[in-house]
Amino acid sequence: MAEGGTALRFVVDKEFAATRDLGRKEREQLDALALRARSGDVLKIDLTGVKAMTISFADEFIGRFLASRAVNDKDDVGVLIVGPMGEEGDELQETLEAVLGRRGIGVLWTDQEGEVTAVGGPAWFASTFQQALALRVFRATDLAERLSLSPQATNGRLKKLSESGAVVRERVVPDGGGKEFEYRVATAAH
Amino acid sequence: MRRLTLSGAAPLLDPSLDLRRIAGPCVVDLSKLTFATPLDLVAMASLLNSATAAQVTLIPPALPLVANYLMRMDLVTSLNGRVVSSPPFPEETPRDETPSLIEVTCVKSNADVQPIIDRLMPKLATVLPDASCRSVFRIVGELLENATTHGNSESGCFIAGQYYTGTTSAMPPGFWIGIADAGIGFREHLARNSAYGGLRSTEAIRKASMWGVTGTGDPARGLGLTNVRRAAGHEAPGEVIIRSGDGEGHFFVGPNGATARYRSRPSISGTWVLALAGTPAPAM
Repeated sequence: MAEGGTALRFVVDKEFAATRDLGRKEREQLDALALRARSGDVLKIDLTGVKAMTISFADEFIGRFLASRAVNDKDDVGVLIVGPMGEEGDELQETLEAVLGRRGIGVLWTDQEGEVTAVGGPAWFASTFQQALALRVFRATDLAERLSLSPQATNGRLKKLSESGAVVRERVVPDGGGKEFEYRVATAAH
Repeated sequence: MRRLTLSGAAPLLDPSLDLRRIAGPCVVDLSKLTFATPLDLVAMASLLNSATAAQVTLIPPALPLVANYLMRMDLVTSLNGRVVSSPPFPEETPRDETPSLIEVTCVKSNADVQPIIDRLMPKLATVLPDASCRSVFRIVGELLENATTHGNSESGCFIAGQYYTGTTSAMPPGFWIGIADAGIGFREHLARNSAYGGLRSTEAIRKASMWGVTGTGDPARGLGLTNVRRAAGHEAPGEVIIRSGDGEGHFFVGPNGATARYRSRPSISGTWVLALAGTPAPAM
């Protein structure tokens, strides 16, 4: 796997994003961008110009987008939300937390200074991503070792992390043949 | 002929009024009205525009300031052609274009909401601090979403709002928002989900205000009203009053928690909400 895919930026151009109607329109455009993404790329959803969003908008746009990835096994393209700092960022994260908590999905959030926050997801989401971040590019066995977990349990977590776009999964062919997967954290994208 | 008299201050919060849909010839008498909250404005707009009577006669407030206020807030222009003012409203005085108002606006569909937000928020941003703007937005956005997607009101829903410092109105300070529709109400909406069938209106309001309760059956939905309550009390103590069918829920919310009171009320058509986004100090 090449070190870091290409970042495809999707900018939400509304200071106050309110409705499911708008959320659906934004999601359809994001879906179109995702279709153009190549394996290893990372979609950066840019909310830096957003001051506030409603639960309805957030669910229709980001909640449903991430949920559809899980259904479609779309795990070779990463997802990263880039948001504002300060109170605006905190409130946007709270809104996302509420939406994603209901759907059992997590997502990575980064601000303009590059600090990464795990939003939503199961209790282990943030700590497992932190271990993945230390490895950057890794195989499941590497992460299992760091987490002291069984391969099955580690694969379960990796499935959730890759569905959420926090890590990108790509198939590689080992020297001896067969198939294996390699993972890379989404924050490694350029 | 039925006669509905709205008198004094904030009459539509008065529990004794019979506010069922106006069906036959009717006179709505505002001559003794002395003060109107955003809820009074939108509830009047919803009541009068959903009337099935061939004609509704509207008697304007006797107090010139109150009559002028109803015109300034676009209540009179929001009424359909079946509503006839007699005597006519006096000519409106030149408008002060204060940005701390949301004039009565009819919202017909979900697609209408974002354009309204796009017009409203830059105006409010000139007078409210950023945090207050975000709270008002969350309240307006979630309530209009609910009204336009669940209300099923043929006459649409109506929104109005105003910032009160409390110095002259005795209203608790903050931005007050009224939203009203003449649709199906909480009870009927929740009954679309078999888990919440057969509830009384007060129970439906209580349930709908809980996290994750929705009539849609989608387990990811049902978060909006909780968000409204949080936004109302985010900065300073706020309130949310919901009237729907024959029930009322009154939520007092603040940074440290919430207290709710539920009770039966004379029945209304649809749902009326009055929300106060509390602000820490007068913003103007």
